[in-house]
Amino acid sequence: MSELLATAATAMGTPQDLVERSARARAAAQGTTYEGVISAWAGGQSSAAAADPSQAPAADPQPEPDPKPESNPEPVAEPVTQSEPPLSAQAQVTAVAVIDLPTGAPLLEGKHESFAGLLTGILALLAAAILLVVVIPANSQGDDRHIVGDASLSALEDTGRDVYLQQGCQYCHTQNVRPVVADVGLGAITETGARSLADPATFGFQRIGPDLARVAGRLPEDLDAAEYVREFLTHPTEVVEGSAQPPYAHLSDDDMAALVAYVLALR
Amino acid sequence: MAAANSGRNVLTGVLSTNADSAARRAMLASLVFAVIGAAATVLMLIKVSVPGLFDTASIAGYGRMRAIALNSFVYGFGGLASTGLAYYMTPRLAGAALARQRLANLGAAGHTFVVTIGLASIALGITDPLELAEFPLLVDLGLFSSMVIPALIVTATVRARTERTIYVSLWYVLAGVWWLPALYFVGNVPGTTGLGTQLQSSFMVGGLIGAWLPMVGIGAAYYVIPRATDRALFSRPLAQAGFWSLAGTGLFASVTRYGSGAAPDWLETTGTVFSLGLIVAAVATLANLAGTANGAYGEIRESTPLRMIGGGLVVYVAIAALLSVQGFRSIDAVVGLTSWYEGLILATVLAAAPLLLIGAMAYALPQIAGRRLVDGLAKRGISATLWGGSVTGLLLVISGLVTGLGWNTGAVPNSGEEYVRTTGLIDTYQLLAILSALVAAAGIAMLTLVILRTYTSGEAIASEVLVWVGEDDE
Repeated sequence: MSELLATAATAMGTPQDLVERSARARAAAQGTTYEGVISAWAGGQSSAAAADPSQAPAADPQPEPDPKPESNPEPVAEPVTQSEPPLSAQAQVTAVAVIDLPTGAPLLEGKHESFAGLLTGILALLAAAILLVVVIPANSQGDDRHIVGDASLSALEDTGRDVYLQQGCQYCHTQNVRPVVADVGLGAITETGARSLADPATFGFQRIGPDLARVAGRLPEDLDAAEYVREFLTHPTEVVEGSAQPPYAHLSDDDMAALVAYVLALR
Repeated sequence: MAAANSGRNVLTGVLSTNADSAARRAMLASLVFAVIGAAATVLMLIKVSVPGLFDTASIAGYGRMRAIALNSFVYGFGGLASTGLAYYMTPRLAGAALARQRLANLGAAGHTFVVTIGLASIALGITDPLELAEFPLLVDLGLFSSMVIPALIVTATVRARTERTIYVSLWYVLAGVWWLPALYFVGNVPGTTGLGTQLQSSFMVGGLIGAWLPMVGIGAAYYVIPRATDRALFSRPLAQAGFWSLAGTGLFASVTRYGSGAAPDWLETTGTVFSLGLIVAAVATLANLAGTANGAYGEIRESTPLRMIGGGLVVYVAIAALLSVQGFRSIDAVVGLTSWYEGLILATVLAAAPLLLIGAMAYALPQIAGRRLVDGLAKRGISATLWGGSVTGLLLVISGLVTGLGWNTGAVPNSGEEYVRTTGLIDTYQLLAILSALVAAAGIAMLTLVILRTYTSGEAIASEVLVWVGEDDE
């Protein structure tokens, strides 16, 4: 029997203890014998054929229940059951629950559902969303309301925009003036042709600091604007007490000059 | 010699064809990114309140910390956890072996490698400027490729299914594995300009946070709850209503990220209408799963995975409600561009997503590994993640509301040197958010330890093995 078990395990590419447990479960479910199931798996035959007692293999070494003597007048208190051999110590440590995946008729007859329909629905909604939310509105810039706005940047200002993005300024500042009460005083509304929407985009998504779309137009007029911006970026809390602006003293002179030029172009 | 052996072991692992190996590896790798994301979130919030901290180091800037935090959470943790769970659930639901186990392993390894490179590039300042699209182009290409692999493998597995019914969790799995690469592609395709760039960004961010992460989390919940409670699903029609509500509205509602902006009015109206579908989806899902678990609340209290998933679902419903509300123009005019949306993002990544996804892992990994869950830290981890993440999100939502109301009423200025009054208004909320984020980060670390300890030193138990029984048994 151990040879049959080993052969079956090899044929199935599965550890012997798993095969043994599975075979016992299959035998119990089908009302056949464990020996028959193992023989079938080892020899490639149907386990149903093993239900024929005439095909039962030689008895395995499991202990037979003690036969009751016929002269015993006492009634049977409990049914006699055939005990299974205890699992080896190693098998106990690595015992597994074997789940047979259905290959025949399932226990529950469910309606056959269309996978193609489900996948098509999912992908169709995705495509519809991309079209409706991104592609169509992005290409509908012929609306008179969306006029092309801001002038192009000089080379230095362009470099300054790169510094702005590299330092992550767009994470704390927006350049996106909206037609709402909260944005009154921030300057002209940001339209679709705005420079902040151009690639690489600087429109931002939250205001930890103020909106900068038209910041140059709001700087104090009695000061040297460039010097004011430079000083603020280098020592922010000395210029504005309690400011949440982090200092950028670590920027090189060239990067600072470019960044200042860019900020002053935001009007 | 040791290094060579390690290298061989890694290669063997990456090329493994053992059942559930890709699922296991993806899930375990995801936890590393959850911890990185949580730590970066705490640093990010500290930088808001203490901007001068480490001011000479560009890597410590708020922008870079935020980019590292969110990319780690969404693509590292969310991407790998959802992939691992998809690889675990699909064979069991479809009744078919996972197609191309070796490719699945390679894809998971590639995903891990590429996200790591991407985070390093952000730290070094090599980034693109769009939110959640900060990885440079080469990393984008690698990450997109690794995102497509799960979609192909799961689809091939379901096509080969032997189960007649397509179970509810499989709907979510299919949507999740296809939406992620699609959203990533749309959000990163170069060459857009003008309004298109802003819409591209809002579609991706709104889609990932408001639709995709809920999609993969709910799918995991639909798998675990019926199985762990040993109860049939309460209502399939309700499940259909919840799924198609989320699938049909989540992406369309993404435009509310930039409400009152340069987008056409009809698009903003579309976003407003569809955003109502988010709360429909959330309520339908919660009702269905609560109905499924009805009468099993004792089991839920005793079960770590069920408690986590239950907590995650409650937070998700709250987030969906606030996202829906934000869709209204009148609300957006107040809270738009404040920390309101940031609060919803942080509640998602610090509470809802970790609880749902790690909760599902707490159910799946013991089954795969044959180890009893080592849940000594679980109770504290769940409480810390749930309360820490939720409170962090809530504090930022409230500070956004306070800021917006201040601007609208003129109580605080929206620009100029007096802008410090705006930041001063929300100082307390920001400081408390740091503390609650610390608690959430500790919670996520504890839950990560629970999973890792289970995998490495949990008591051996019966594990779930899929054994193929061939046609010989007919």
